[in-house]
Amino acid sequence: MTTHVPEPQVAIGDIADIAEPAGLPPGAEPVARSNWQLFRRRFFHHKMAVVAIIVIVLLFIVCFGAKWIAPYPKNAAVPGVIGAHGPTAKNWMGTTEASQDQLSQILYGGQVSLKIGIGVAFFSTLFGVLVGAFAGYYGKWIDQGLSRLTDLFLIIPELAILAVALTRLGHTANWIIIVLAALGWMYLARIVRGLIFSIKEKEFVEAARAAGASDRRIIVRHILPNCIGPIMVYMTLAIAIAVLAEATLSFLGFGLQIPATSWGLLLKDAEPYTTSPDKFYLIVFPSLMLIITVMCFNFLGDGLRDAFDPQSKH
Amino acid sequence: MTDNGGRDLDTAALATDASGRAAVLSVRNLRVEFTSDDGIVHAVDDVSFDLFPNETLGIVGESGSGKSVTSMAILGLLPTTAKITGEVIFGGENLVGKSEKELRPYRGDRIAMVFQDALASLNPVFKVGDQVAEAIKVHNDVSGDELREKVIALLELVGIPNPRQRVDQYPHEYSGGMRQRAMIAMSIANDPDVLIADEPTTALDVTIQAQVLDVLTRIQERTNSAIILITHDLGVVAGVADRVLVMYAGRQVEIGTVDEIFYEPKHPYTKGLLASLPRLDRRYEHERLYRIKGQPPSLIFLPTGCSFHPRCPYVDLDGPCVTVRPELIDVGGGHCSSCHFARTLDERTPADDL
Repeated sequence: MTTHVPEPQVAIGDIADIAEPAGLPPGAEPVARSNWQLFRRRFFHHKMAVVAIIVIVLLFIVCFGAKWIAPYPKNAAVPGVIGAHGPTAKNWMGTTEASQDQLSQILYGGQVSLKIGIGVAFFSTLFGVLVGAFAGYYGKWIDQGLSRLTDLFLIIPELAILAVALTRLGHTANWIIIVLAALGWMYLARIVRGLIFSIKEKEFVEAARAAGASDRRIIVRHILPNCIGPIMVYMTLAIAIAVLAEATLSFLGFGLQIPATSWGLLLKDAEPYTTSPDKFYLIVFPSLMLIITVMCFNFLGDGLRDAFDPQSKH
Repeated sequence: MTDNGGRDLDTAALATDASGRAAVLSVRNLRVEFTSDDGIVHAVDDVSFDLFPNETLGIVGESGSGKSVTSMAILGLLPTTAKITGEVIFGGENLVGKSEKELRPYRGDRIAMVFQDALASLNPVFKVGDQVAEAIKVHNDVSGDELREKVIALLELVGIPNPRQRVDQYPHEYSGGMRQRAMIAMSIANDPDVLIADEPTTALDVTIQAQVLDVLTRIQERTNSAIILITHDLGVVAGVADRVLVMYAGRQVEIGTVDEIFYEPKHPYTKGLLASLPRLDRRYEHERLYRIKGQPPSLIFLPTGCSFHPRCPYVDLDGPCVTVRPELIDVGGGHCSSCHFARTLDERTPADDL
């Protein structure tokens, strides 16, 4: 160029800031975290999600701090009490058939339920992202193979496999996490595969390739950060699903066994009293904990989805 | 420029320019073909040129003339379905046929690319500074404050205002011109020998266009890199390029210095392109702008002989135009034209009024 055009640079920037609304311009992908502050603002607009996250934090504190908070040690019989009785000033949630303080049992049981929820969500997300990313990025026969594998796992009769596998492997929390995760990664794998299919065609991926980035670098550093929204939302929901799955398994007798304790096990112990209204507390309190936990994680997922979506109305 | 410049098709020896400098990049008989359901698409058909240090080569042509495919082929960025033959000689090595892994050290480090749509080419979820840093980190082991200072210096170099604040902003907070500058900052991060700019200004308005081109020119003065500027805007080429390669239907029709191409075009297509430009020194009260009649041909069913002959006002229907594919003819000093009548074109009478 022969002529140097004077550059009204600052003005250009200022105009752009006014002209382009915060968040992404219309038509752009509803991708994650273009701005942390916007993200936070959208999240805090979702009142239920804020309540949910407070409840979840409290839940974690009381359950994992049970050692200091719970009125009685784990599995300890309450002195002077025989069998189940209703809530009293001493035993707020009553006592169980084994004369244990139900509040203490619920707090200790929560440790296991929450640990299984988090563990399953973590490992199924990890595996799902891995499979989805490989299938979506490389396509062709790798995608064919991995997608058929995903389909295969989706048609497995889950409960039967869980029952057999856990009976063989042992009824411990760790095995439950592994087996539940092994049977729960397929949904996220499909989501991530689809996302990557569309993102890998974007020009910034081409630009990264032109800059000499390797496949691994492109997937990990350029593509996956664009999927963080759906992955996080899925992960919170996976926690809720896994907590329920553990309760179901333990209730049916395939999951944890006494002397371990979990919300599902407490429900299992209460099962003979489903028809006796005077022992309602044996069913109501563990169920309440499950409902609260699952609802809170669902609301958290809702809030995250809104926060990750720049076009959300909040 | 010697006879070699731009058309040394037979020898593998490195071409040199007038001052004896060796070409930094030599493309020889490059062909790119795609297989489609309808037949073979000849996207690039026998293109050869040299690129010298500190030089800007403009590649012009209409959509589908093979400009972008040529540049993608140089970096090996075409999909695996593309069949590429010929040679791309860079640093004494032929890049054609190299694997992804072998090409990676070249990409972004020694040959860099600026894409057309800066918003689409920037990752929306990362700060611009992080993306420039990423371009450096791919090839160099730097981090921390050193890296950050380097990024800020780069943003400053390409004329981003307040680089210290802007480095922490996201692409959507940048204006169109600034995004393209950020892209340029990323591409020059590793001082490449060759910078390929694929229509870097097409999406920008003229003022910003001028600023971005100015940045490219300033960068070149600093780094001595050679620039391939792909565009369909003849005005941009006239302003920035040293030499021009004109492409039509995947073939190169003419190559020469800017002055040669603009003042003494030796190919009917180039003549037509220039005649179709509105000019400030002419009045158009009663006449329409010139247009090249017809449509660009399908790249699957190219016309026989010279691919431009169905649209050419100079065509000799009884002559070689219809049957023989023209070779590049040197009309003097490296100015080559692939017209059978390149040397005598000015004496011929066109069928319609040029």
